[in-house]
Formats: sequence, structure tokens, C-alpha cells
Amino acid sequence: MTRKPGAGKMPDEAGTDREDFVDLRLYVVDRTSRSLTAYANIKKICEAYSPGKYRITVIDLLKSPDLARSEDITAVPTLIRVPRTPGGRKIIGMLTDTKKVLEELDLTGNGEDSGNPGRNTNKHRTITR
Amino acid sequence: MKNTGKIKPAHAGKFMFEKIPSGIKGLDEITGGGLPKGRPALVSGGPGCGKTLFAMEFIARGIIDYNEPGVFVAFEEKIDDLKKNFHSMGFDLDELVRQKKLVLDHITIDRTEIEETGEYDLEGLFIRLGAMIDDVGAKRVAIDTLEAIFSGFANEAILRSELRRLFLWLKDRGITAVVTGERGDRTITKYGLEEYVADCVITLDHRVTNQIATRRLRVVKYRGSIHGTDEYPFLISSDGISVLPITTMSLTHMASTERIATGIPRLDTMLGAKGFYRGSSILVSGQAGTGKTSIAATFVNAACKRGEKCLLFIFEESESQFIRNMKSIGMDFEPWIKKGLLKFHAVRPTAYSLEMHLSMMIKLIDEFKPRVIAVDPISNLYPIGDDVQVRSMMMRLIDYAKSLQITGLFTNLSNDSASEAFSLEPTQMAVSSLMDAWLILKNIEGNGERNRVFSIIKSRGMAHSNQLREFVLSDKGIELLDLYKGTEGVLFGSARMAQQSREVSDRLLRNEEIERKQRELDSKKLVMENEIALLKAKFAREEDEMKTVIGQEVYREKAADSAMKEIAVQRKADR
Repeated sequence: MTRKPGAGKMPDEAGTDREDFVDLRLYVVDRTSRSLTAYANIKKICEAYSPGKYRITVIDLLKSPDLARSEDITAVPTLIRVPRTPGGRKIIGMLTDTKKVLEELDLTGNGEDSGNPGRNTNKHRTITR
Repeated sequence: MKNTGKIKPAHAGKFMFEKIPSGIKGLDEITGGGLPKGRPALVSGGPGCGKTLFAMEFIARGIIDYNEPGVFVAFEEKIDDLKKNFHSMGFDLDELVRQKKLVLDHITIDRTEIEETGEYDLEGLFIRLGAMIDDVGAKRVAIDTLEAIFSGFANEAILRSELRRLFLWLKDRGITAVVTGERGDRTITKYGLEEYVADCVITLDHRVTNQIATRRLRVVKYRGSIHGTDEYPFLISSDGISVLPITTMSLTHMASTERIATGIPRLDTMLGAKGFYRGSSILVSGQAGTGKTSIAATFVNAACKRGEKCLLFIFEESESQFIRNMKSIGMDFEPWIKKGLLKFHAVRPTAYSLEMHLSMMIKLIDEFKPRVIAVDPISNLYPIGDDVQVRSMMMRLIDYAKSLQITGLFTNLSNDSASEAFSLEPTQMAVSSLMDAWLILKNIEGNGERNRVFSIIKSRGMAHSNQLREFVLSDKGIELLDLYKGTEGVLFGSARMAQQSREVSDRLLRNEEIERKQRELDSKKLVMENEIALLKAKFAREEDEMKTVIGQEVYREKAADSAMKEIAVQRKADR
């Protein structure tokens, strides 16, 4: 598989260094239904909560197995937001629980949650829409 | 079928797994060749019992000794810590990595760093392992502690199916793996890894009894293979784990007919004039201060004189104290030490457990390769183990020594409370049956002093004296003397000497008496003879007188007669 819909060709190329830009890496192994579901889910979330300000890089460990070690990947699919920050967690699984994913990525659902104190502690994670 | 190459040719109609040497000293003996080749083995144990070391030795020794590259996956320890820890054991992991023989990987599994949403699998781990295996062409993989993944991931159902898949995957790749697991409360491992590893399960244990810690290893399961099921004590020393088979299975050692002198000439003569058999085990027991250590030292000294290497285990004294004391009875050990013929191992019995002592002894024997060993005294081991344990330990030590044709002399302190007779105490009985020869030393008190008496209780396979000997220590060493058997029974020490001198004076007195009697007789005879002479003289005198009287009478008669005739003539009388 490894279509790389986001890689390098983001609609908002110029804004990749912006604080609210969501740069994601999705580690998978092979084009399994699990991989595809996870990709579809994260894409849907990004489209909904950070349209035009995200990039999803899908990395197939079958093709670059050494990354499993250097990135310390055990379970797949694994979603990581880069650059990694202290306390930044790996999200594993098919990303079925949108609320959890949003929490982990520090995305606020449609602004409903914006300003929720105690969550958006990482300054560059704050998304304002 | 080329694949059957993995399986050894039929063994008594049963197929057997091919085994590869584990690289852990002693384990291959217990398992009859090592770990099952191309299969995972599970090593389980509590914290600090040596699991990581086991796993790392398996990998490192595999590389160094058997040229099998390996991968070590650590879930708990950091790579730098591993390198540091194993550097102290003489493994240069960096060098092995540089040689492309070893890959070290640390996998972080931390639930606080992972959020789970939806299904997942551990394919990442497989890819990761696969990449590392391919990197160095690994034949061996160690995963320490695999169970850590249970603390990282919440979905146990997924984990279980993935673990099953992992073991199959390792098997498919022909990897010999050691997987470690944490011991559970009632199960071999906390999360039941043993369910998935069907071929070989080993448990490690670290127990404390009487404040002494002992490590033990047990092969719980080894499919398709004969293996010892006992708990085997093992040792972690500066060069890794070494496991000791608890006893050799059978008595197969060759019995030597060579005889070796004891260093005490008189004892040699008591033993058929030749001394003990080489490779035999000798027990010297006796009360405190009876000279057990001196006998051991003399024996060792004699062996050194013959140019044989000796290893002396002393539990009571320090090396220098021992040497000093033996100098006082005319033995100098320093030259032997300088020549490399003699080595001491002085340690407090309570410093280790019995198993640890045994391990140390066997390790030293392996290193020093002595022909004679002496242990002084084995009774000091009793505080750290009961009769059965000490006996079992001694049996192992003796078996081991015998298998190498090493002669062993063991001293044993016996109870003072025993009666005056040569009683055989139960503890001695337990150990003595292991011994080929048994010498007993005894203190015998009497006349306000104590004397040492010596006898041979048994000496297998040779004629030996049944007599007691007095045992004397002097600055010339040990001397055995005949006991004095006089009219007043058996005597020792000064009583013997006193008796001997008394006898001498008695004899002198008797001689004088005889002489005196003789003289008396002589003088009596003289008196008698004198009296005879006097009587004779008296008789002679009386005889003279009587003869005179008789002569006078005869004259008188004649005179009277002639006077009558004269008268008649004058009277001219006729008749």
C-alpha cells in the first residue's frame, strides 16, 4: 500500500511549521484491513478537526523494517504526532475512538472543547478554528 | 526430506530434538546436550534470580564459543546498563556489536505512553525482530522479560494470540530462543507463558534459608528429552552462571590401585605398608584438639613432597594461621605455595550456603586441578545445613573428586560428650559411609592428663591394623607409638612412661633381692660349714679322750691280769 496522501503535498505546504499544523505518522505493516481502517479513521478525524492543516505520513514497516527499531514501534497500527514532545503518547489500534484520538492529538472537536482548561498545555498543540 | 536434518536420526525408535549447547556451564550436562535447537525455551524466576544473566550468557557464549550470532531484546534493562553489567562479567558487548554478531535492542513498553483505540497487533515487534535477525544472521534470540508487554498493553486477548504467534514465528525461522518470564504466585510465570512454550521450561530460584541465599535451577519440562528433574544449585560468579549436577547418576569412577603414602610412616605400615589408595576418600574424625588438622596437614605435605598439587579448604583458620601452626610441628608450607603446588581456600562456613560452598569448591578444583584435596573440618558445615544436606553435599564433592581421581581427606569434629569408648556418633555415621577410609582420634583422660589415641576404623580394600596407637605430636611432626600393655592394662602418655620406669625399678629391686638371698644362702652355707668343722674338731677331741681312756682301761686290765698270774705262780697253785 503506502499511498502517501499527505507526504510532502499538503494543501497548506507553507504552513507546516505553524503551531496548529498537525503532522502525523502512521506506522503500519502491510495493507491489512486494520491498516486501511486506521488510515481512513485518522484521515476523517483530521479532515473534520484540522482541515488543510494536517499531514499523514503512512510508513509501511515491511518496506523500512529498521524504522521499527529506531522509532521503537511494537504494535501496529501506531499513530505518532511529530515532532514528538515530552508526554506525547503513541496511539495504537484502528483509531476507532474519535474522542480518544482527539484528546491524544490535542485536537479540539469543532471548537466545542476549545478553552477547556488543563488540556491544551502544549502551546503548539492548540488548534484554533 | 532435507527438513529432517533438524531431527536427529532415530534414537531407540523415538525421535529426539537436536540440541545446541546453551553456553551455561553445567546446564548442558543436566539437559543432555543443551537447549532444543530451533525452538524457544522459557526461563522463569523471581526478581534477581539471574534470568537476564541466563539470557545474555546464552547469547554471548553462543557468539563467542559457538559462533552463532544473536539478538538480545530487553524490555526492562536499558542497553547501556546491560553493557555495563556484562562488561564486569568479561563480556564486551560493544565489541560483539561492532563485529556484527550481536544486536541489542531495548523495547519500551510503558502504558502511560500508549493509548489504545481499537484493534491492533504486534506485527511491529515481529518486523523489528526479523530485521535484527537478518542484520547479523542470528541463530539465537533472547527476549528478556517478554511478560513486560502485559504491563504495556491492556488487551490481554490480543497479547495472548500474538504471543502464540511469536513463538510459532520463532520456530518457523529456526531460531533457538530463550524467553524469560516473571514467576507467578501459583504458576511458572505470571501470565502463563509456559502455555506457549511447550518444549523446554526452566525455572530459576533464589531462596534464603538460615539467612543464606541459594540459587537453584530446575528443568521443569523438556519435551522429547531425558533431563534431571532435581533442583540444581547454581552459582553466579565473575564469569557467569555455573550449574552443578546434584549428584552423578551412577558410581562409575575407575578405582585406582595406586597407593599413596600418608606422610606418617607408621600409619602407612598400619595400612598394609603402602598407604591409602589414590582417589579414595578419607575421613579423620575426632574430638577437639586430637590432631585432625595435623593429620590433614601431614597428608597434604607428603603429597606436595611428591610434587602433587593440593587444594586445602579450611573453615576454621586463616591461611597464615594454619601455616604458622603447622610450622610448630615441623611442616613448612610456604615453599609449596611458592611452587604453585599448594592452594588454600579459607572461608567461614557461614559465608555461603552449602551449595555455594560446593560450587566454589568444584570451581576451584576445576581451576587448580589438584591431585589431593583436604577439607578441615566438614563438621563446620553443620550449622548451615542438616545431616541430609551435608551428606548430599559431601557425596557430590566426593563423587566429583573421585571422577577426577583426586584423593580427598576430610576431617570431622566429633562430640566431646561421647563416652570414653570409641563410640560412633550418628553424624559421623551419615558421612562415614561415603568414605573409603576412616581414622579416629580420641582423647583419653586419666592420671590428670589427656592423651591422644589413634585407630583405623575402616579402610576399604586393604588389610589394615586393628591396633590402637598412641598419637604424639612433636616439633618433628606426627609419631605413632605402640600402646603400653603392662600388667595394669593399656596405658598412655606419662602413665605409660611411669609404668615403664616403675617396671625397670621393680626389676632392679628384684635382682637385688635375688642377690641378697644368694648372699644369705652363701653365708648360711658358710655358717653351716663352720659348724661342721667345729663339730668335727670337737668330735676329734672327744675321740682322742675316749681313746686315751680306753687305752688306760686296756692297760689296767692287762696289768691286773698279769698281776693275777704272778700271784698264782708265786702260790704254785694248781687247779
